[in-house]
Amino acid sequence: MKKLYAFVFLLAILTACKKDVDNENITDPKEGLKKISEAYAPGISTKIELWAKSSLTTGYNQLFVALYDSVSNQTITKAEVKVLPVMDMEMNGMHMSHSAPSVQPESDRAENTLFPLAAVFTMPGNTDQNKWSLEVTIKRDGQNKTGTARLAAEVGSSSPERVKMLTTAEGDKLVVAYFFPIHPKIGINELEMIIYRQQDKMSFLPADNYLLTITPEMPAMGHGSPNNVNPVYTKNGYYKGKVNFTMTGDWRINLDLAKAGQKNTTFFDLTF
Amino acid sequence: MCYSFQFVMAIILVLSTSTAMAQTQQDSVIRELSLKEIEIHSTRKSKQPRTTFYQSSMLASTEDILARVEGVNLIRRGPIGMEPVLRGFSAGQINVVIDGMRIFGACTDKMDPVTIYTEPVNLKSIDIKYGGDGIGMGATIGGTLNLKLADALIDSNARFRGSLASGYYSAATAVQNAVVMNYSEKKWAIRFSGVYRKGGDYTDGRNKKVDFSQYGKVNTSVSGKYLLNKNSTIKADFLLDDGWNIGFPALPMDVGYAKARIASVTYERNNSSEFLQELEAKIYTNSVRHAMDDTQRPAIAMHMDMPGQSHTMGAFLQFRLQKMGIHAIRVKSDFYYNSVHADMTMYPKDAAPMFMLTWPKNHQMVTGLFVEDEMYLSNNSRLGLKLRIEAANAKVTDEMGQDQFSVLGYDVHGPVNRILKNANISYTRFLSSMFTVYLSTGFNERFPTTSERYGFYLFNQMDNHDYVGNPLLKNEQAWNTEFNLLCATKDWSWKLSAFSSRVAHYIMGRTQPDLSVMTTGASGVRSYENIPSARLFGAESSFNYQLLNRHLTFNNTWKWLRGKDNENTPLPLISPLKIMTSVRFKHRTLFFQVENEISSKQSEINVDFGEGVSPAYTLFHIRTGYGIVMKRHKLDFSLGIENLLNKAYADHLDWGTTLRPGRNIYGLLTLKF
Repeated sequence: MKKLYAFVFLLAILTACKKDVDNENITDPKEGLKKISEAYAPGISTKIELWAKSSLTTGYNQLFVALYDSVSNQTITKAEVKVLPVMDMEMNGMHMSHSAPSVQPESDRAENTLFPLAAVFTMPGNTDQNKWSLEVTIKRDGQNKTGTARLAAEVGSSSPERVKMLTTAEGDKLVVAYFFPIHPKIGINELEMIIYRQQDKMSFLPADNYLLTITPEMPAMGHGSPNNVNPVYTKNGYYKGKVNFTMTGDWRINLDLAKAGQKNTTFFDLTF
Repeated sequence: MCYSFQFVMAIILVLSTSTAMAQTQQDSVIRELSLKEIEIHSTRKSKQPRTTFYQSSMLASTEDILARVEGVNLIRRGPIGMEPVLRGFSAGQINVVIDGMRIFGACTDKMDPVTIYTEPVNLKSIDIKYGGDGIGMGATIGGTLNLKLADALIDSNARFRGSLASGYYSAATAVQNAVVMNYSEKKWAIRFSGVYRKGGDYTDGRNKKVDFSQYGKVNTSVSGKYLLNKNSTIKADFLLDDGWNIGFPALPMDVGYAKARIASVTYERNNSSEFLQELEAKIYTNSVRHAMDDTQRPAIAMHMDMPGQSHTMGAFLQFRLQKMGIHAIRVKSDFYYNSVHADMTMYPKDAAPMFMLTWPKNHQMVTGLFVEDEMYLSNNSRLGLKLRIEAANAKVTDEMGQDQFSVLGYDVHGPVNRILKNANISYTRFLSSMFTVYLSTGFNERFPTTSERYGFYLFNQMDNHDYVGNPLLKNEQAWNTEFNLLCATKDWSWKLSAFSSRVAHYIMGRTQPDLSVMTTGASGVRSYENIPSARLFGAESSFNYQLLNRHLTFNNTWKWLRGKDNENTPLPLISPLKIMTSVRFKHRTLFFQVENEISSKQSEINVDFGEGVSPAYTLFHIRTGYGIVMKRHKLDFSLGIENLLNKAYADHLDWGTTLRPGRNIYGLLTLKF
C-alpha cells in the first residue's frame, strides 16, 4: 500500500512538472509584435490582420499576416496568401500608383498561426497624398473563391536610410535594402541584404546574379575592419554575408554590385 | 650590498680564519656576483662608498638611480614614467616586482612602468638579478628588478627618527619635498614616508622649453612592524602613489592620472635551530588606475578617453631548509591573479562617439614553485641550482572582448594554459684571495603579456603602427649564459661581466598588410609574432678605487650591449656603449664630486621600428655637499649642476629624440633627526 502511495505521489509530481513545461512552451505567437492594420476580405468571410515587429519604415520590413474566420472567429492556419504592396499617390490632382518588392509566404501553412512575409518599402507613405497599402489575396484551404483586401500600412522614413535605388548601365532599376541583426554589436555580425529588379511599375523580380563586395569604414577615422565576408545570393532576392565592427560609432558599409563587368556602388550608414 | 669593503677585507682573511667564517664571507661575494643590490638611504647616510654613486642625491628618483646601474637602461617617453630595460630585455621579458609582489601597469602604451609607483624614500634597496638568476620571483627570460620596501625600524634607543628634505631643480623649475619618520616602541614600530614632486616644462640644451614635459606626483607609504616574539615579526605595508598631469612629449597624449594602491601583510620567522628557516609568508593586493589625457594637446584629430585598470592579488611562502650536508635548499611557492582592462572612447566632430576595448577584460593566473639548492662542493667552489615550474592561465573574460577579437579571426572564448619551465645552474670558484669567478647558465621561458596577446589596435608612436595582439603566441624561450669575474683588494675592486642570450620564439611586431590602420596617420598595422630567434650579448665593467686614505673615491662603469634578430638585423631599443666615471672627494662632512657620462654613437639601429642613428654625447655633472652636525640633528646642504655644459642631447632610447634637460642647477636641504 505504501509503495502504491509513493508511486502515485511520484506520478503526480512528474505529470505536474510536465504540465509546467508545456505551459512554458505555449507562448503568444504575436508577443513582441505590433498590429499595423486589419480588414475584411469580402466574399470569403475572412478577417485579415497585418502584424510587424515595429512600426513600418522605408526599407526591408518583416511582416506577418494572421487570418480569422469572420463568423466563428477561428484562426485559419491553411490558406494561400499573396501580397502586393501598393503606393497610391495624389499629385496635382493626378492619381498614380506603383508597387514595391515583396517576399511571399513560403507555404500555405501558417507558422504558429502566422503567415510570414516581407516588403521593401521604397519611399515613406504616411500622408494623405502618399499612402502605402498591402493588397492581400487569400484562397482558403478547401474553397475555390479568392478574396482580396487592402490593408493600410503607414510607412515612416528609416534613418539612416536602409533602402537604395540604383539604375545600372543597362538600365535596370534595382532596389537594394539591407537589414542587420536589429542591434549590431562589436565583433562579427551576420549581414543580410535583399536586392530586387524592377520589371514594371507593379512587379519586381529577385536580382540573383550580382557579385557583391562590402567594405565597412568609419568615415570619422577613415579605417575599416578586417575579415568581412561578402554577401552571396541565397534565394528570393536575399544575399547573406558577414560584417565586422571593431568599435561602436558611425559606420558606413560601402557596397559594390558587379554584373558582367559593370559595377555599381552604393552605401549604407549605421550607428550603434 | 654593492662593493662592500668588509667582504673584500674578509676575503683576504679567508685563509687564516675558520671555514664557517669564510663561508659567510663567500656568501657575500656570491651575492655580489649574482645580484646587483643598490641600497637606498633616506634617514642615515650610507657608509658604503658606492651607494653615493647610484643615489646621486637624497631626492634622486627611482628612475635616476636605475639609470646609473650597469646593466640597466631606460626607455624614455617623458620626464617620468621611464621603462626599465635589463640587458636589452624589457616589459614582459622581465619581472618588475615591489617587495616580491607582482604588480602590472594599467596603461596600454607602457606609460606607467611599475617603477614609477615607488620612490626612493619608501625603498630599502633595489635588487636586480639578470637573466635566469631572477627566476625566484617568476618565470622570466631577462631577469628581475625587485623594489624592496623599507621596513619600520624597531630600535628602542631611537624612538623617533626621520628626515625632511626639500629641493629645487632649475631646468624644470621643479620642487621636491620628502619626509621620512620612524617611531619605535619596544615591540613595534611604524614608519611613514611621503614625497611631493612637481615640475613644469623643462628647458633643453637649446634653451627651449619642451612642451608637455610637466608632472605632478605624491607618494606616501606607511609601514608597521610588530615583534611577535624573539624570532618572528608581522609587518603591514600600505603604499599610495598618485600622479597627475604627467607630460609625455614623445607621445601624442599625456597622463591625466596614474594611481596605485599597494597593500601587504607579511609574517617573518627566523630561528636558526629550526628545520624551516628564514620563513616569509606574504599576502598582498594592489590596484592601478590610469587614464591618458589629450585635452591639453593642440591640433588633435579628435578627443579620446583612454582609461585602464589593473588589479592584482597574490601570496607567497618561502623558507630555507636547515642545511643538510653540502645542500642549502630554499623553497618558494607563489600565486598571483592579475586582471586588467582598458578601453577607448573617441569623440569625432559631428558623429557618434566610438567605443572599443583596447585591452578586453582579461586575467592571468599564475602559480609557481621555485627550488634553489646551493651546494658547497669544497672550500673554494660552489654549485647553485635553481628550478622553477609555473602553471599559467590567461583568458579574455568579457563577451564584448571575445566578440571584438573574433573580427581578427581568433577565437578567444577559451583559456590559454601553459606550463613554464625555468632552470638555471651557476658555479662559483674562489681562485685566490683576489679573484673570484662566477658562471651561470640556464633555460628560461616567459608567458606573453596582455598587450602581446590581447592588445587591440594599440598605437606605437615610435614605428607609427597600430599593434594588435596575437592569442596564439608561443612562449618566448631563452638560453642565458653569464660570466663574471671579480678582482678585489683592500683599496680597489673590479667586476667584469659578459653575458649572452639566445632567444627562441622572440616576440616582435610584424606588419600585417591585410589589416587597415585605425589611428589616423598611422603607416600600418603590426601583429605580435614569434620570430625564429634573436641574440643578445654584451659586457659590463665596474671599477672602484679608494685612495688618499679614502678621501678620494674613483668610480667607473661601462655597459655595452648588442642585439640581433635571426636575419642579423639589429634589435630595436638597444643602448650604445655607455661609460660613466665619477671622482668624489670627501673630508668629514664635506664632499665634492665630478661626474662624466659618455654615450657612444648608435648606428646599430632598427629602421623598421622607426629608429635613426643616435649621435654620441658627453656630459659633465658636479655635485657638492656639506653637513652641519648639531646636538641631535644633522643638516645637509647639497648643490649640484647636471649637464654642466648645457649640451643639447637625446639618448638612443629616448622616443621621438626629444631633447633632454639642459643645464640643471639643483639645491637641496636635508634635516635628519
